[in-house]
Amino acid sequence: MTWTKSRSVAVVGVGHSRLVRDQTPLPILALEAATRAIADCGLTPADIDGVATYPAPAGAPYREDIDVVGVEGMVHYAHLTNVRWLSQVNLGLVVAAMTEAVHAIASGACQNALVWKTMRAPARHNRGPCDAVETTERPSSLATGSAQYVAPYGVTSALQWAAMKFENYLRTYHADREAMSAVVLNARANAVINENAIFHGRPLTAEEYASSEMVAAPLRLHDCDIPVTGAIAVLLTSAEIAKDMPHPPAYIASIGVNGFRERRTLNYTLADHIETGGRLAAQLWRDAGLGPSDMGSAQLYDGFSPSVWYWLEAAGFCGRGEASKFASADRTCLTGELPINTFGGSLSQGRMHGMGHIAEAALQVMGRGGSRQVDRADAVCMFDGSPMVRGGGLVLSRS
Amino acid sequence: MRPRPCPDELSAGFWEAVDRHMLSIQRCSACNLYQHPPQWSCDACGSLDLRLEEVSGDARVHSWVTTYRPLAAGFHGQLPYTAVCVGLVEQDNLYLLTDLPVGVNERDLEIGAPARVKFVDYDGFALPQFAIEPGCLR
Repeated sequence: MTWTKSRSVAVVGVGHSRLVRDQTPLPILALEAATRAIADCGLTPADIDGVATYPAPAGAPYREDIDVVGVEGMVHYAHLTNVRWLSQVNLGLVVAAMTEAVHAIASGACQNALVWKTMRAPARHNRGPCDAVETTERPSSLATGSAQYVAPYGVTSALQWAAMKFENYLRTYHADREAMSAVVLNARANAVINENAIFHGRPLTAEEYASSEMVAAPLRLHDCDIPVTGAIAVLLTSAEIAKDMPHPPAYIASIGVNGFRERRTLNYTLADHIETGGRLAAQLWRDAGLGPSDMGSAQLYDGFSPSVWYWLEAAGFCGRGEASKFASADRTCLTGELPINTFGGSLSQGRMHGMGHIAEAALQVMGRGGSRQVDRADAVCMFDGSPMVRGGGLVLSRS
Repeated sequence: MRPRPCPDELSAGFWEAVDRHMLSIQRCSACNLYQHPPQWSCDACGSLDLRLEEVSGDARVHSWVTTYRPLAAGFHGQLPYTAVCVGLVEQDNLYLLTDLPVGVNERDLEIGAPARVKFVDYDGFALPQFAIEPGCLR
């Protein structure tokens, strides 16, 4: 089937909080992002009748108002007095919350929906979630659940799994490991000119990348996203109302999240990643009536740099095993044929688990990218996730 | 010290076999698919009729990661260490995360290198680890 509500909802407002690496309370930053997104399209808090967020993955321990700001917190802090529809999802990524809001508006459940994502940098910057097993040393720890098969071998971090997939990729396709430099340096170059990036004004050289600390070989420190504390919000409304808003709308041409039936849990293969991402991308292209060649830019999740290569292949921008050559500096820079992560990505804007990518896709389509604006932004795609686990994506268009 | 695996309803049989130095993998009685870790239903056909079946213990190296930072409990004193993902020879895409009883330089590893299960006893539990024939390292 094809989605029947394509382009019936649009992003009309974007708001970033400061992204910080200090003890600023998260509610202050969540309020900053929400206030800016609402004001960005000329609305007031009383106009917001729908809210959705994705605070954290299912099972992740978090404290409301400290580690995340959920629906109840946001309604309180932003003084949203007229909310009639809300959703707080824990499956997927923030694209899942976006999808909920889009469907709510398209079905008439609400009119103006605020969607946001808050992130808090962990106190210990040990990079990578550790499910079920703590990273602090304890004399006799027990490995339960899925960790029982991996923690006894010292593998509990997403970073280690990403490294294993990447090793397999490099060998399978005889890819040049150092070609990843283009992805990382491109992200940093774009962040340097993005005032909403933690690395604004802080360039990275090829030498610094090549010599950066090995964390989990073959991944280096600069292949990992940078933990930040902050919030990013967008404002969605129906296409009819969007026409009269201050900024040109970024229509939701398609949006969706992955379903993945097989349960190999900890044994997902590289092929699983790319094939599953491919199924999602095919659905998004079909629903949007657009394809890879129509995209003026691609915002690709980059919690770890190899995900950019995987998404390029999964979404059909290049063939399987070709991404290391395809994602050259010339092609992916702001003036290239396919500008990627024009805002700096999670690698250099900061770890916002996809919300930064969504906000940037909207700003580019609205023509509000400023010094980062790409020439051809009639349509921009965003793909979220690794790509398989909790994958999602959307295509935004000017018409 | 390595974290000790904590068996549950699904995994008890697997770990009991490991304690007896046997590698037993869940298999579907209806379509014969092997799957690991154990689940409640068959990934391929959905059958609920699953059993544990001893496998040969022969595998091939699929991938690996060498960890340099203290990311996992019990390994802070082992840095750097290499974990290996092996594919059991019984079936395609039947992977097990493991490591090698004798440390090897990860630069010597090759995808497809033959590996064989070797059980190692720790304090109160055993783990399947995999040994690579020295002749099969680069």
